[in-house]
Amino acid sequence: MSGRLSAAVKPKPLSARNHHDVSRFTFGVDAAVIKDVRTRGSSNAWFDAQLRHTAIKDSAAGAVASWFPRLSHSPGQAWAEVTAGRASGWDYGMDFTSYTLARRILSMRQVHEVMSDFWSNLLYIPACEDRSFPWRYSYDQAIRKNALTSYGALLREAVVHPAMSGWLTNHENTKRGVNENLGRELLELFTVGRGAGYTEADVLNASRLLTGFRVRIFDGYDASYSPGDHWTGPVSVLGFRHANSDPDGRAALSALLTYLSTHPATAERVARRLCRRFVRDEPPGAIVKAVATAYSRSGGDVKASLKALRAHPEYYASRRSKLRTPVEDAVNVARLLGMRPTGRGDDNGFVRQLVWMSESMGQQPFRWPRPDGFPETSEVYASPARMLRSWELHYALPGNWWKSTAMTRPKQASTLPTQWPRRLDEIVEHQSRMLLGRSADPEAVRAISRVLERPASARWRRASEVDPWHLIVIRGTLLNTPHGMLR
Amino acid sequence: MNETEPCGCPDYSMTRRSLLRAAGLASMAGVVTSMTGGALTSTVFGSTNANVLVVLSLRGGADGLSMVVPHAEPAYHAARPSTAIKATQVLHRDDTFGLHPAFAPLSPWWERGELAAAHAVGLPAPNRSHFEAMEIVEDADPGSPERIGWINRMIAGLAGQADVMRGLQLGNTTMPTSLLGPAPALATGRLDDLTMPMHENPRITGVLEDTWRRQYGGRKDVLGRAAGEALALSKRSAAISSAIERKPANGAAYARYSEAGAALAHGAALIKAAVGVRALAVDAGGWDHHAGLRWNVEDTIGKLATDLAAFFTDLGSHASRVTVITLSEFGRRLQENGSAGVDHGYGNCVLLMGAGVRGGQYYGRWPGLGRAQQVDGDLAVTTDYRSLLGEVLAARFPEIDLSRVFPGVTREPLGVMR
Repeated sequence: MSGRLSAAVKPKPLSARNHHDVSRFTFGVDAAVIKDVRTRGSSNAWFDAQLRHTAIKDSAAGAVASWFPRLSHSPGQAWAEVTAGRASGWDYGMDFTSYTLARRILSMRQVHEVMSDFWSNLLYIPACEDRSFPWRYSYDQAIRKNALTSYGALLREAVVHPAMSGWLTNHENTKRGVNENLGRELLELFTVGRGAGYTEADVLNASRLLTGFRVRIFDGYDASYSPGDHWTGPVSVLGFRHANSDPDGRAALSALLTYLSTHPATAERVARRLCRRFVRDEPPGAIVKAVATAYSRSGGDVKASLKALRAHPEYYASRRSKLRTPVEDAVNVARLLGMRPTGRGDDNGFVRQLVWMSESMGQQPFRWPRPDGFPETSEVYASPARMLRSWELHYALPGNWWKSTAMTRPKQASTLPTQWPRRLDEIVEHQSRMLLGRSADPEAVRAISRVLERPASARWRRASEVDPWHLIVIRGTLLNTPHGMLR
Repeated sequence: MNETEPCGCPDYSMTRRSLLRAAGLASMAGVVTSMTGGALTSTVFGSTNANVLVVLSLRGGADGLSMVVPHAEPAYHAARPSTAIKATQVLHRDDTFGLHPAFAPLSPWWERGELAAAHAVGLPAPNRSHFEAMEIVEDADPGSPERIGWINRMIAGLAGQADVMRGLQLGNTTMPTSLLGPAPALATGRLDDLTMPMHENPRITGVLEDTWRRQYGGRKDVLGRAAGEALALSKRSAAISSAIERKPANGAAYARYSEAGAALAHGAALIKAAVGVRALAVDAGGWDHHAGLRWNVEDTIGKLATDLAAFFTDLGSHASRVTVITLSEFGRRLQENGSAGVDHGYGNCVLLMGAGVRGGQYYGRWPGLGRAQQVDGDLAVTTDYRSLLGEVLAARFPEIDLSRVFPGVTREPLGVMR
């Protein structure tokens, strides 16, 4: 078996363990991922290489930002475009969202991409939001830069970022009038959580330390730090104490953020959320504890936490138990089918359509309206309406029924075996191994045969004889098996 | 898994033969088929006496003190130097309260006695977290480790067949906590496209249904259940599509650019089409007024009032079986903040509108806003919201066992329902 994986009549799937690992830590196990794991010998070796993400060549994903010139606008420029009526905050948000989905499809640095999504959903700021849109891309870059470092580093970048100030109205939080919006979410969502037992006084004190950050919302969006706005005086937050006598309170705030990021309650919350995403909806206490311990011992190190998670028996025991979110669903299918965006495109551009496809299944990326981020649990995405639309899209994508532009996909023959003739059941088996990494469900073989009104033993003499409609039915029906819905 | 349906999913046990029959019936709006204990039954939903509850969630924590203004309280005016609504501005004023002037579109309902307000309602203990408070409000059974929402328990307690259309969230496909649980329920942003793939070819659709029933039917997880309900739902897609294609009736005009209005318009269409909706959850977001309370709340109240007026106008004669209640995760702080906004607080108001409501008046055990009556600077809660919900359910859905919907809650009726 040389060259492409799909050349073989029976492409060899990864072992169940390796497949589990890559299905949890990529946006879709395509042939490139399988080849990479094989070349490196195991998913462990693959994972280690992925953690050194800057060493991985990633030119396709690197070019995506250039498709969206608006992303490079300074906040002032963005605001000028909006006030001149040439663009809206929504346009900026859609560009950012499309950019993100394109990267998820194209990037070779899948672990970095997945973790950027994870942190971005924990330290969540929507796209298209009025007070933050000119800074949203800059915020994303800050998250990406730190996605595989430590939670403390992520928190220190995120909390003081102008996008966060705007989104949670911290730009209006001054010593003359404390606005506790960000201070409360800092404790509740970003760090220790309600269970830690902080008081309203703690919220107030955290909010006081957050005074001084200014953003000129609806007026150029310049960001600055204003010592004259900073509340000075001693503060205490959940056992953290600081004299906070310097009118420039940034050092004091940084100390608080470091303290909170390494608090045991934060370790537990971050560990639980990691386990929700990568293990199962209700992760057993043992694995949460193992991850929290690794987090604490390493001072909130991301790599150490992930190592503990992947090493725990509950991780592998939970395989194929997470329903993909709608966004994950759309991106996964694009990757499996080799559908690659090639630019921004017009309104029918592929990445833009993926946004609408996700929305139709129940999740419009970066449009969750609340600061707690999209739920990490599967059950909320398991609405009957979502099932119907997923089933539909799993045929629409292989058939390109939305007539997407700015997209390439492999020629049909290059996705099929090289040796012919082949029976229908052999082609289904081949596609099942390629798309799902496992043998075909006999129920799916039967369904495909019935839909196509051909016996399983029907033969095709060469690849070019396989009608596109046949492949749509084969691929859609495989993607629509329970295994196709789960990661 | 499902107390009312031993097989777990209402649609899985259908045989191929019953499927064909169901396909034939699908063209008849309002008729669904399901299987219980081996016998195929047809159930006609939406008979004229089928009452409907609409829960409008004012997400973000609505400022009840701006909505139902305690105009006679000196403490209210003192605490809100730039944002208080003056006694001379409020509508339908009594000695204690008045409605925010932006509620004007609802005045006809107030005057006809079909709209009421209750104050100082909320959670039994303060919780100023949006997310936790919402979770608690919607779960409404703090003693239970199971994550089952109160609307799910409510629809599970209705007489007759369990059905995916009974509990419905419109406007968002993500399931809210209130609907999560074993009883079939549906959340959807849009009501078109609830069809099977390739539905123009019944032969293919039949094969796929058959296949998915087998592939998903044995699963005991959320995926298995969602798939079963999806198959049941798809049979009603034609009835649903034709219902939502109709324009709002009686000159009803929903607010422009209002997602809640769009969801209510679809809700009205489904209620009128009698497809079996019994509980409808709609999110009306945008109430988290940390800044600029005065103009923000005027805008949000205005939209809410316009949408509710349009909804009841649109319903026409069906309004006699529809009751709306508003819920919000918490009220706001009495004292305005440095941004002329209000931070997270506690006690709140609730609006009740429509069938069974003894309207045109204010309800509640008003604690007052004096320093000694406040809870950490917020309006106190004197009525557990579950008691009020129980009062509504008891009046409109008498067959429901309230001890299962709100376990351990002692009801202290305010007399707001007939």
